[in-house]
Amino acid sequence: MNGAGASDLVLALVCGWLVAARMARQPGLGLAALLIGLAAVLGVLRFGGFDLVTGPHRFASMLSAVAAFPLLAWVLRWPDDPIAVRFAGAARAVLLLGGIGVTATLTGVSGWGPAVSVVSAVMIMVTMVEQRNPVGIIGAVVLIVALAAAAAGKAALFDSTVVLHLGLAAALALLALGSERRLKFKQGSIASPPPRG
Amino acid sequence: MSPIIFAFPVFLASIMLEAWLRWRRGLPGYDIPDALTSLHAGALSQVAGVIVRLLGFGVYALVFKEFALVTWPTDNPALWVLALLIYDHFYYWSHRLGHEVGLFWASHVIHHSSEQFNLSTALRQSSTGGIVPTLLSMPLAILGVPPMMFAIIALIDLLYQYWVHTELVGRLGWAEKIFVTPSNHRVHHGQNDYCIDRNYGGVFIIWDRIYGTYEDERPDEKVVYGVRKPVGSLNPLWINLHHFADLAGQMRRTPGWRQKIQVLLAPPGGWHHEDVQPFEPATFSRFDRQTPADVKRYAMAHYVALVLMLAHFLMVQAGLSVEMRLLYAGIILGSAVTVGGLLDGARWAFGLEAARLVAVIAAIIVWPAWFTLATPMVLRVLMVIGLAWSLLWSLAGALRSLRADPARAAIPAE
Repeated sequence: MNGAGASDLVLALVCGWLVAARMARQPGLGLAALLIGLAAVLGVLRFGGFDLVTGPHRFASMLSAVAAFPLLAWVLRWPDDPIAVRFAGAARAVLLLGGIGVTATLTGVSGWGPAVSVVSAVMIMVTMVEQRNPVGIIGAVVLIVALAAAAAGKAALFDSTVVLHLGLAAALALLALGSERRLKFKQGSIASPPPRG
Repeated sequence: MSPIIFAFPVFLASIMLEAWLRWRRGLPGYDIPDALTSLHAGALSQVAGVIVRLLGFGVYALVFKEFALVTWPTDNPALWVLALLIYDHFYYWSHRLGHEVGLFWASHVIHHSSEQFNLSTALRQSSTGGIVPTLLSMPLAILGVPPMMFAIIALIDLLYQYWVHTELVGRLGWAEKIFVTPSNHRVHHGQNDYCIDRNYGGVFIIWDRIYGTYEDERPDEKVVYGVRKPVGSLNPLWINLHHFADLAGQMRRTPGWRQKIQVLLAPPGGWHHEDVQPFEPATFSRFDRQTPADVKRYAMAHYVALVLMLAHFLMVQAGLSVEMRLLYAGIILGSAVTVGGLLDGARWAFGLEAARLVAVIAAIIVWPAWFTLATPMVLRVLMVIGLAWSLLWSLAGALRSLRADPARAAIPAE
């Protein structure tokens, strides 16, 4: 297995942990992790030499970009929304976002996936800053760096695929921990930060 | 050419056979305005499908081309059965979402808007749907089901569902456990409490049994067909769009853009089924517009013309320019809407029908090649005579309508 495969394995493990730990409490977050995790598992197979899954891996990656990232951004920004707290709500959002995204990408709007990912990352960053969530802010920064590395592609001095996978894994873990902290604030088990100003 | 054209004669013949059998058995006959409305909706769905389904199928073909795991051979019957099984599973979910997501229900509600249940109801299809089942079926493209195989199994799945829309077939023993049948599909079309959100399967009912949405038809409670919020119209355009208008109204009244999005994503009764009230079959009264007999006869005659136009449209549309295609589609839409308006008793309908007839007569006279159809002179003369008679009838109706209530003559029925 090459570096891309190994880094996809790390991403798959992080996603697996998120699915197991959060699907029941935060189905929106769990479903976003499931989609990214599915792409990562296919990536492990692909980069492990099982070339047959190249097409499905590319499709799952595209679906993650157009549906999982915006779902993640939504869930982190509005954790009480039906899309965040109901599996049915999250699944409907994935269907709509995925349907529009896949259709747009395949019919020639090639920038749709990257644009949606960047907007989602920026929205996550704004949310974490507004929430003054340090763990979340670090997670958002790592996510933006990972997406920028992916955009740099072959022009970069490093293996952009590996950086994307590891960055995503780290970002997802940090954002999940940050959102957990946020939930505990709301439930009152951790003292809220003092008001601003 | 759309293969559905070849099914038209079968549809019409079987509907007439069913009507005759109902009459023989002493059952209530077909409600002609309701059946014609279903047939008009079916015609419009075929016209719209040229564009909508093409988009869905195009995306499917692109996903297959770009991302398919393998390519399934098409000469193995077992693979066809497997593909049908997998497709039907996705059909179950798309159908279920059609009932449980507000936006998709707006598109699918038309199929349930009839308070009758017969073969014509099967043809009461949406003009705005069709893309969700294809999008949900993308895993088939990834698995490697070729687009043509996909199109054929989707058509088989759709055509299978035609025959289950009848009250003439009772329970079918062991088949009830595996297949969608008239009995379990009657439950799906019911608005009785026990029927709501049940039996979504297309060909196989096993999906309902697996996902817990199966319900047997109850011998002690007659199924009352239709929806809890009746559309109350025979206009095929309005029955296609009325729930979208409802959703737009709900969105206007709902504060905050996130809540507005929830109007589209939540089930029709809201996330907590706020609006669902217990149903009392005994107090139900069926929608009946009391359409006069001459209007029914007129509408039936013009439906025959509409079917001929539709068949011709589907045969030639691929060779027409976009403008010509839209013009032809517009003529078919106009015919269905004005005749539907007549059935509905709408005051504007006679005037609009007269205008439509004048336009069609003029087109036949000045345009010998009707969308590439070179009509013999004798036939054209006969068509003009028929349409001229229709025009006189419409004008007389418009005059009657004006005399009846001149002040309201220009106000639409809705």
